[in-house]
Amino acid sequence: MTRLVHWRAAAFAAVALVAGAAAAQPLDLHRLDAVASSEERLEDVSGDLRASFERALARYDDELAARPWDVTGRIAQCQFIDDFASTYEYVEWSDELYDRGDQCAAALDERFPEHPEVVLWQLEREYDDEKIVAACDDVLASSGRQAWTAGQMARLYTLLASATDRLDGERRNLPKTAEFAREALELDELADVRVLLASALLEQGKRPEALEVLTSPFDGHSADDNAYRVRKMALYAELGERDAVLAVHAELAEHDAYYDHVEAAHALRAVGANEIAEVELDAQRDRPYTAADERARFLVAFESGTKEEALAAYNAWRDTGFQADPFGINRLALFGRHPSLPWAARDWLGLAGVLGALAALGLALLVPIALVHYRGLVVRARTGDAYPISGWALRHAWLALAAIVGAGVLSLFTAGPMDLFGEDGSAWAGIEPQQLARMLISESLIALVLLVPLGVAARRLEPDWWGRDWSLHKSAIVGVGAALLFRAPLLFVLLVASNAQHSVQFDSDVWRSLEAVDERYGFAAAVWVLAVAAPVTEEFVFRGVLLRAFSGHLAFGTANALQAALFAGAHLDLAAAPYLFVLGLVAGGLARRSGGLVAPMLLHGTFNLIVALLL
Amino acid sequence: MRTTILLAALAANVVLAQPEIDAGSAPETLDAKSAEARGFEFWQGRLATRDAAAAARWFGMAAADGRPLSQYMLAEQYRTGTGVERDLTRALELYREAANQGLAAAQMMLGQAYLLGLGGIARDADAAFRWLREAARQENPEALFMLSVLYASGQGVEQDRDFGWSLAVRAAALGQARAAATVGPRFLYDPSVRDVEKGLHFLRQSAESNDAQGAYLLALEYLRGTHLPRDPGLGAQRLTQAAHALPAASLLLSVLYTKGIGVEANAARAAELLDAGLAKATPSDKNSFAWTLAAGPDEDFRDGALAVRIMEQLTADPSQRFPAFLDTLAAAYAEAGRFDDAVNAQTQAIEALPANVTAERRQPFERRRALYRGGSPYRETP
Repeated sequence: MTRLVHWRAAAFAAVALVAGAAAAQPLDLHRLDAVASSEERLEDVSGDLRASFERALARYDDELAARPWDVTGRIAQCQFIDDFASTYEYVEWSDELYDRGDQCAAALDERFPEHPEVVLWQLEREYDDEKIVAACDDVLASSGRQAWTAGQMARLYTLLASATDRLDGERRNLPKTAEFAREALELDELADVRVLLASALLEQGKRPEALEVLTSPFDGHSADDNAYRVRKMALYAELGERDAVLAVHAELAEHDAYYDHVEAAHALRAVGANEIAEVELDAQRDRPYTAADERARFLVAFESGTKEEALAAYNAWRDTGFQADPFGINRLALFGRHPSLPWAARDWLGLAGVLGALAALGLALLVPIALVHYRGLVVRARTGDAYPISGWALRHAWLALAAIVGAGVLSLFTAGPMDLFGEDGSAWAGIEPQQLARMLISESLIALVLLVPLGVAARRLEPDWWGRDWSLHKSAIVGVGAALLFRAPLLFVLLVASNAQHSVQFDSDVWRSLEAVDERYGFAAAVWVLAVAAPVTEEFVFRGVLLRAFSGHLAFGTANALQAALFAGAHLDLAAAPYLFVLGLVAGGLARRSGGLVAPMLLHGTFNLIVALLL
Repeated sequence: MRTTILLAALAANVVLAQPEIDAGSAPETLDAKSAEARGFEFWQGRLATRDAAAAARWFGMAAADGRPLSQYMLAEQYRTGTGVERDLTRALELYREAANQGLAAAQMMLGQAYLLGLGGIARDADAAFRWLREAARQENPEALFMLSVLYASGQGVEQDRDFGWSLAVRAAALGQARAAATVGPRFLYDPSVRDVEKGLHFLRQSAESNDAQGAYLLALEYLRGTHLPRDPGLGAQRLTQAAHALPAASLLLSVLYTKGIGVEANAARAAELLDAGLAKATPSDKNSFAWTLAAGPDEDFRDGALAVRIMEQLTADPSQRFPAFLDTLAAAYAEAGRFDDAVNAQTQAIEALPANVTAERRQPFERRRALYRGGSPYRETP
């Protein structure tokens, strides 16, 4: 009995073990498939792909074995590996592909050291512009350049011009870019640098040369690139060449290639071809309309549409969001063009936003005032001095600051339609020169008007504030002399450099505005703004009101430094801030020593007049 | 004062005591790349005065080490006999070595040698094509132009006129003067590719590169006034530029000096140019010139008597009595008012036409004979 139980138990255990083992394996129903699985097929394809790749490489090897001198053929082989790697980047053996690409490039370098085609191929694959420039410079400096053909040298200069341009964020190296582009064109009429060169020449103000480059019968760029054509349209538009813009626009339809219709519309609008611009904007409907598109449509309607069309386009733009016209600048421009158009509630809201912005600015300006006030209290608590109740007070300082800053804000409303918060932060750059000119002129006039009450107060508070301790003669000599000393380096450049105006460049919104005034209203207007209106108002505010008000609460040195810092900050130019700060300090010192404002005004006016000579 | 003089003397001593650069020695430690650079310094005269012999020594050292550019430079020196004794065979060997290493200029020279049978090698259109193709691929302008000729004529490669044209245009765009002179007129006159701006640009480019053909063609544009404002003065200038190399330019310039067109009339200078031109001109050049004198649309350039003189001299040789030449002689007679002689000459021209000539080709000859019978000279339409 016991033996039977043992045998049964053993049999049961054995069966249980087998069943358990079987149960641990999941059932693979694909084993029942009559055709191959997806994974199997993918493996097959991958294997085929690899075999195809190897066959293609072998073909290259065979062809090149009979042509050991064929450098372009070897480059094609290496390029094939690179292109294959990027086309099939998800294959399992992609790492091996990249390795083989590196090996091919190394073998190429070893077989044809310093060969122009190899160097160019390497440079054309290089992303680091500084390395491109350095490599090109090496070639140009070496005697090995004698081995380069005209076409190869043209390609080198093309790479050099493009890399130099990309590195030139502050646009200070435009002459170099232009020089390299010209070299390329000297060697090859079809070098693809015409738009680059024309753009660089235009930025340097060399309009006739830019036009000559663009209107050449030769253009080495691909004929199928409509985006390139639109860039040409933009350049022609900047040159005011309406016929050329329309001629290039006509070519767009002949090639079925993508281009930015809004950009084309801008160029057309700039030369007054508004009906065609409207057609371009309509064509943009095949993709979702962005706020920028609506704005472009509004600008076209504003310039050439009926008042109803302009209002409809404005509302369509406002519908994209509050940022479209947050302060009603464009609604006010529309009002100026079509006064009879009705105002919506949100339009008034925009203007109310202005008041809010001004109030916020006013509050912000209280910060330095408050700091001075409380610092003064602390000092007086220690010294026991009385609180100054006569002369310029801190409230006058606040009003003066508010007038200067408020004038800048209010001048925005005289600019005409503009996009305050454009896409990519490019709003300011998109403002046209005549708008900048209007803004600067308006700002100087508004500031003068806003400062009238303080001017009246000045007659009461400091009757002889123009000059107490120095004569006019002495103020003039010292003021002008100090300015000449300040600007000695710039004067040297102006006198020595043959192309001074383009060897010195300022990169600030103020400078662009001044150039715009010069272009739009003439040199006399620019001199008035730069050398008369600005010095008079700024000296009055900073050295007249602020310095005197702060001096009642702080030691002169501290007060002078604070007003100089506010003076530098008010120009919104970080690069020029140190220079302006020192100018503010010196002007403040002059104001104290002379007992008046004539000397600092002449210092400031002469300082600015020298800059005006660059216009 | 004494100190100053002493210091000046010391400085002068230091300067004057500098050793002269020994162009002859080649230190063993100088690597091939440096040797090549040194060769260029002597070749271009950067180190001291230009010294081709020294350059050859340095290039030779670098060439022996396999530097393709040095091989090419040394080959050039052997080809031109600059700094070394002229040796075309050695030059070709060096070109081949450099070409095998992918140097485009050497490939072009080797291709040219095969094309023209230079340096003792047999002409070989296929080899010429192969090497020129390599150089052209690297955008060597001369190779591009020569290759365009091969494609146009079907030498060494299957004929493809369109591709040949595009190669010639590419060569011209890269500044090849002769290519520019070739493509310029076609851009001006061939309706299928007409582009006046490009045509004039290439002619100017060619002329400014001192290509005689380009200068001559540009001169014609100034004289004809078709695509440029008529300016005989500028035309005369360009003809003067081309006259030393092109008999056609010399001949046309002689007419300007005879008639005082664009230059002050000067019979002696005209005679000098005419003689010089006729001495170098091919029969075809003479025929073209005489045709212009006889039947050109511009009255200012017509001179029947001179045309008669040239063509009578040319056709006096029985081997030159081609229909076209006799046709020109007839036109010359007609321009000179000798219509009977014109009819006779034209009849001879028609009889000289091949038996299988097409009616289309025969008709102009017949028409002109009819004109002469009617007592009218033939005029080309502008």
